[in-house]
Formats: sequence, structure tokens, C-alpha cells
Amino acid sequence: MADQTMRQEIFWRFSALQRLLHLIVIFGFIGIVLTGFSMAFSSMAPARAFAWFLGGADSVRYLHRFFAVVLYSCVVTHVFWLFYYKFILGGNLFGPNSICFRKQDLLCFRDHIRYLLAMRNVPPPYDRFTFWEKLDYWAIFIGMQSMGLTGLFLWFPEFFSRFLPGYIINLAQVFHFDEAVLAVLYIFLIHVTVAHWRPEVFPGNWTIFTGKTTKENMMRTHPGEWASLNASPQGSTIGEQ
Amino acid sequence: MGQLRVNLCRWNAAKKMLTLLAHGWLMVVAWLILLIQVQPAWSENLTASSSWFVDMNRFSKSAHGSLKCERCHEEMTAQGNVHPDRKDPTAIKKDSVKSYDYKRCAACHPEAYQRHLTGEHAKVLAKQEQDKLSGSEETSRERLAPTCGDCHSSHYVQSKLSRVEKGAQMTETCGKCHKTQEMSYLKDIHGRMGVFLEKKASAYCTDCHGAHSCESLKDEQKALTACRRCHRDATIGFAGVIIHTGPEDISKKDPKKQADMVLIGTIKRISQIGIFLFLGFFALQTFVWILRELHDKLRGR
Repeated sequence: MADQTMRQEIFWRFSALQRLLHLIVIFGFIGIVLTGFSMAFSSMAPARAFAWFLGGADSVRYLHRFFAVVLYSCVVTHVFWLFYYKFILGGNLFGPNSICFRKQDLLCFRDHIRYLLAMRNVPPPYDRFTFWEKLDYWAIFIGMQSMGLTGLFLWFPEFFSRFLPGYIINLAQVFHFDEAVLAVLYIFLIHVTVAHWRPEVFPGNWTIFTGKTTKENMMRTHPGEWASLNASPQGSTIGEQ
Repeated sequence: MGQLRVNLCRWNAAKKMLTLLAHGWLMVVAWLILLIQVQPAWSENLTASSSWFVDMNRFSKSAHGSLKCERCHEEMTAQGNVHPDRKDPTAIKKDSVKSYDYKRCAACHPEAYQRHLTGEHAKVLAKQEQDKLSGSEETSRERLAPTCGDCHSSHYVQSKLSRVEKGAQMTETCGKCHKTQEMSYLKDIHGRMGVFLEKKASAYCTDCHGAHSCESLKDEQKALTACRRCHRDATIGFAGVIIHTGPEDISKKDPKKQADMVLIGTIKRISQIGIFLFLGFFALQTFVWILRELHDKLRGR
């Protein structure tokens, strides 16, 4: 037993802050979706029942805005962390280990499609982040900006209509709703399926909650990063032994 | 005593929720797959027009229940004529709502009657009568502009309704003629908040268009005055926010608003197509992915 734990090499993929933010975003997102959709679909009985359960229209509105502030604080915290990472830790925001899209991802995506169509036997050699992880990250990151902006338009219409034409508020309504539907379907159908329910990772991938992953997992799902780690001893991991 | 009343309120709300839940699983499924379907919260017909036959049980419970028949129907015994008028056998076949002389309402409701006279409905009615007299065009009974009895049930009108109940009722009443406006109002934040989520501070039809005067708010200055009743800091740009967004709601004489609506509609369609394609592609990709990995697992690779 002791031998096994000693032999099991641990690789850190997410810092405590990243895990905490992801956890807050999960609950904040569920909260904002439930309150938002109970307003958007208030013509339907289940939405009205849920709004009643929360204490009526006023508390639904309040909670929606509360969750919005929580979620956007996560974005702000994350951006501060990026600055910290770049300027204090001297990290590289655009290297092979970064979450930014690179040319390599396009090739990986092509190979991934080839893998799906059985034109290739193994998945492409992903680096630290796979293209779908990058897509999830950027979908949320950009989505937060536009949901935040349209949300502010709807929160303070009197202020924004001072210097913008009135129909911008109508446009904000359209975008706020459409993007909410997009975000909900993307997160609850595609993100959850790809990250947790694929046969490869079923029943769940706990790395985002524990921050740790195993050597075997590194070799299988991030062969690119694994290769670069073995090439140079100064990797970004804190391995035990 | 106060606590008892609060508990009663809660009990009523709980009962209401049970009836709402009893709408059935179809509604739940519809909600889950995000189909938009607008349905008035109150479907009981509370403002049925009066007919010649009066249900005395309902009448006695109504706001006018304490009035004697003669108070409103004085001609029944006046000037030697008896009701029904035997000299005019068609009298009973006449439309009771349209043939009643609503000037009598003014005896008790002078302010409402004055507002009605200066309002939009009365203007249209005057024009329609003019047309009829000049013989150019006779308006059908359904298209005739309303007077008191078309909106208010004289025999069954209820008193002491809450603001929310009145608002929900008036949405249905106005919606009888202004159908597209009712639908767009219910989709708008004011309708969703006021009618469905029962928020008192929301605006109902008459809060913007004026009780009994029923003004059109095509003029932006007029609209701004209406907005400012709640949105104190509103400026003229705020009046440009479109509330009734249905394609038939916007006047043909307002090209600016029409152009705005076309722009919004185009952007909406593009964004919906984009979302559909994006989600469709990734859903399909995920599905194939699962099959592929299942294949690998089952082959033991």
C-alpha cells in the first residue's frame, strides 16, 4: 500500500486559486442560470414556482445580480492572477503551456477530427491544455465580458440610454438571452460531456477539483507536455520525487 | 392577528403554486428544452361582457352589487314605457353592450368618463360614427371602438382587487382587441415581472398608456413622460427603448422605429443561426467522439 503511494507520481495541473475559482464559478453559474431563466421563462409554471420559492420577483432579481457580481469578481480575480503570473512569477502567457490558442491547436483539431473519423489510430499529442479545454476557457472568458456588458445595459438602462440609442437596450435583451441559452447548453451538454462523461474519463475528471493528476494520465492525455517535461528537468510541475 | 394574515397569504401562495405545478409534465419538458411559449397566467374569463341575462348570484357579489337595477336602468319604468318595450320587439335582440347609454356611468364615475372622452378610444369612435353618418364606411361591431361596457363588466365587475390582479385582468381585457400588443407586453420585462412574477412595481397597460385615456405613445416626448413615472432618470434616449416589439405592433408611420426593429430582427436571426451551428457542430462532434472512444475501449486498446 505504502509502496504504491510512493510510486504514484503526482503532477499539479491547477493551483489552489484556480480550483477555488472554478468551484465558485460552478455554483455562481448554476445560481445565475436558475434565477435568470426563472425570469426569462416566467410565463411557464415551473419558472414561476421556482421564483415563488426564492421569494418573488424582487429576490430573483436581487439574486441574479448578486450571482452576476460574484461571477464577474471571479473574472477580475483571475485577470489579477494573470498579471501576478506574468510580472511577479515571470511566467510566459503564450508558450506551449499557455491557455492561448496557437497554430499547434489547429493541427491538433485537424488530427482530432481525423481520429474521430478513424483516419488515425490515436488522439493527437496534446500539450498542457487541449484545444477543447482552451475553447471552454475562452468561451467562458469572452462570454463573461459580453454577458456582463449586456447585463449592465439591462441593469442601468437609464444611464446607458443617455448616450446610446434606445434600441441598444432591446439588442442587449436579445444578446443577453441568446447567449445565456448558448452558455447553458454549451456548459451543461458539451463541456460536462467532454470533460467528464466521455468513455475515456468516465465517471468524472477530478483534476479540476483536486489539482492533481497521475503520471499515467499525463502520458495518455498530455503526451506533448510529458515529452517536454522529460526533455528538460525544469518543468512547471512539482513532482514528489 | 397580523401573523395569521401573513400565514393565510403564504397558504394562498402555496395553493397557487400547487395549481401552477399541476400544469403537467408537458410544461416541465417544454421548459427544459427551452421552448418559448407565452401563456396568460389567468385564463378565467373575469370580464365577460354583460348580456341581457344577469346572474344575480354573481351580481350581488360584484362591486355594483349594492345598487338597485333602476339606478342604472332607469328607462325601464320611465316615461310610461315598460321594459321590455313592446312597441319595439327587436329591443331584446339588440346588443346590450353597444346599445346601453354609458353617459349614465358618469353619474358616479365622472373622472373616468371625462378621461375616456378626451382619450384615444373616444376619438376613434367619433370618427367611426362620422364615417357611418357620411355613409362612406360602416364599421363592423367588432371593429367599433370600445366604450365602458366593452372593457368593464357592469354586472360582475369585482372590487377590492389587488394591483397585480387588476394588472393581469387588464392585460387580458386590452388584449382582446390588441392581441399582438398583449403578446409583446407579456414577453417584455414589464409583462413578465408584472403579470407572471406578480411584481407590484411593474407597469401594466394603463400605467404607461393612461387609465381610460388610452393614449398612443408614438410621440417620444409623450412616451418619455410615461417612462418617467417610474424611471426618474430617464432621458429622451430611454423613450427609444421598444416595448412592444412584435412586427405588427409598430406603426407604419414610424420609419425610424421600423428600421430599428428590422435591425434587431436581423441581428437576432444571425445570432440564433450562429448559436445553432456552433452548438450543433460541437454536439455532433462530442457524439462521434463518444462512439469513437467506446469503440476503442471495446476493442481493448
